[in-house]
Amino acid sequence: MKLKRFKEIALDGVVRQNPTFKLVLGTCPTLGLTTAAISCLGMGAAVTFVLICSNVIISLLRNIIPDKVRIPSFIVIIATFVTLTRMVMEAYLPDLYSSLGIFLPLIVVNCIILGRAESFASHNPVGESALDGLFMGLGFTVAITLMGIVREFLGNASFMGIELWDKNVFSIGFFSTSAGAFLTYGLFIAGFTAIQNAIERKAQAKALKA
Amino acid sequence: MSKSSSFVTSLKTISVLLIICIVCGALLALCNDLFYIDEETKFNRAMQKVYPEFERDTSVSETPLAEFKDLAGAGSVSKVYRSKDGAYILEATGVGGYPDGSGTVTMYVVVGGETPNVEIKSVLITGNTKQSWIANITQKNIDKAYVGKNIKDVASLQMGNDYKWGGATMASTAIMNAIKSAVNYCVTALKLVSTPESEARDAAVALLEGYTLTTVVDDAYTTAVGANFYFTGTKDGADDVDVYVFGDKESGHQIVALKAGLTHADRMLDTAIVAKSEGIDNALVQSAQGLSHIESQIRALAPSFTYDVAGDLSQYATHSDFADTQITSAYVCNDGTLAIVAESTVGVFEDYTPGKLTMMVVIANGKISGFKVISYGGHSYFDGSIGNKNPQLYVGSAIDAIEYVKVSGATGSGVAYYNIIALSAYYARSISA
Repeated sequence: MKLKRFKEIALDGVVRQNPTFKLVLGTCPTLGLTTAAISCLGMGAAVTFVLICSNVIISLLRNIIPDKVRIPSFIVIIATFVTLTRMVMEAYLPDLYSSLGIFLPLIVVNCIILGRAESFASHNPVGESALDGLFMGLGFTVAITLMGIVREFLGNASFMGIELWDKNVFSIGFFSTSAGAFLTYGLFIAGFTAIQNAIERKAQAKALKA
Repeated sequence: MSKSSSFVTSLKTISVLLIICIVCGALLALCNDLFYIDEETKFNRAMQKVYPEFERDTSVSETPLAEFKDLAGAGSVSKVYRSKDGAYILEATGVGGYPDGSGTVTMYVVVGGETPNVEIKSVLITGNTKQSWIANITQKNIDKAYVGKNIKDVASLQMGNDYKWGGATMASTAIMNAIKSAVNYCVTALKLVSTPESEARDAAVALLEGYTLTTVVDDAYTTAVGANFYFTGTKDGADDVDVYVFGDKESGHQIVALKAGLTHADRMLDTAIVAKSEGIDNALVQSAQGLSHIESQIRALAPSFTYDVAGDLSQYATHSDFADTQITSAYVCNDGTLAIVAESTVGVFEDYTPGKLTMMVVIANGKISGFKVISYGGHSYFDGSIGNKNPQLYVGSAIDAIEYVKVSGATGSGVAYYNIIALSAYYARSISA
């Protein structure tokens, strides 16, 4: 694989097609789990694992799976890896398992995973699919962790579960609520889009000059 | 597309999906064996969030127990688990939360340690009803207030600034009630620590064979020196039997009354005499729910109690060794117990006018078994003397071996006590002879 292709996949996954801020996929865990940054990291790791594994398997089977049953096949494969993740997490990371709650099994219906399986893994070779899974997962993890840090800091006066000061002294409880999640998400999308647009304009200007 | 071609395509489609399902199923079955977590481990893990050292002790049968309702409806305990290291995890619900005291807070309370240092190891809120302000209370707040406290101290905690946070006074009250309920369960049911209250309760229940305490209805007047409480229980299968108890640690009184009447008093005689001659001393039987019942029972006992005037008062009422002291009345009970009421106006020191001390001395089996100060002059020396438990020093002494005990700072009143007790002993010896 060429370096250019690697860069492309990496940039697409983390920035240009960031699943959270650009494609607005996987919003359930984004809104539901971002009250604590540490849960976001756990969720991100779980999604990344499932993305890589399902992308690899689907890419391997892309020429075998008939078109008519591709979606059921993808779902079965994704569900298998989600269940596997759930089992491992329950066995070895019980605290994280209980903090993720219902959002862990719901990875099965996470649009990011099914979307990448359908749009990328089923059309690309194994290596590229694995990289796509890795960087899409990374993009998702970074996005929700950033949101988690902001919401946890403002709403609970803590960072990664470590209390910074008594939240009764100063905190904005609103950011811990569902409405606060929507507002934070909206602000992040706006900020992300603004930065991306600025970079694109700069690149276009540079290209025109050249 | 021909029919056969279509069939082959369909067969291939179904086969692929079927194979994927079978492979995935087999993989999961294999992993399930590898990563299987049994229920006991899951339970221990859940409890370890509250108490990291928890490992369920399955050898004890009290887990979980039937719901335990706390005194005066402050809360209840619904589940109790014992750890192998001897600690207990109790799931308790406290009432008194918002609004109007109807809201509740449910929490795990971990209690452990060696007697008498049984303390709260950990607390964790697990749920609440209607406590919207409870979010202002942090785990750190609760830990700082309660963790490490001896459960003896927790029972007497009063709501104050140290126990309420973030404006959530009512939620804080419910939290305190939940913890108090858990502690009360540890004291009452698990008997993790002995307190005057639990000792008095146990003693009262022990006096009533076949009786089981279920709910303490009123315990507001129990102190470190006396237990006044009212509880309901079951006896011989009958529910809701009311029991009223008065226990005075200082004088050794233990009075237990059922609705039907007085069942037990350690010293029926002097209880009756006090009731008959002086009325019920409110300091002795304080006013509280249920205790008025005891008072009425003691009053009812007094006129019906059979006793006789003991001995010849004109012959033995005074003695030259005990100046300004005389016996005013003496009674003997059917079991031979003597109750002697005497008074003394000792004034052996310069500028010291103590006033008249009137006291009842109870003698049983040749020993001073108790006393009751009926009245005294109100001088501060007497107050100090009572504070020094002066008469108590003679309890248990044989009537032929009474020796003056000097109490520092209460010399004059000490002489008055001694004169009355020694004269009573002389009287008892004389009439026995």
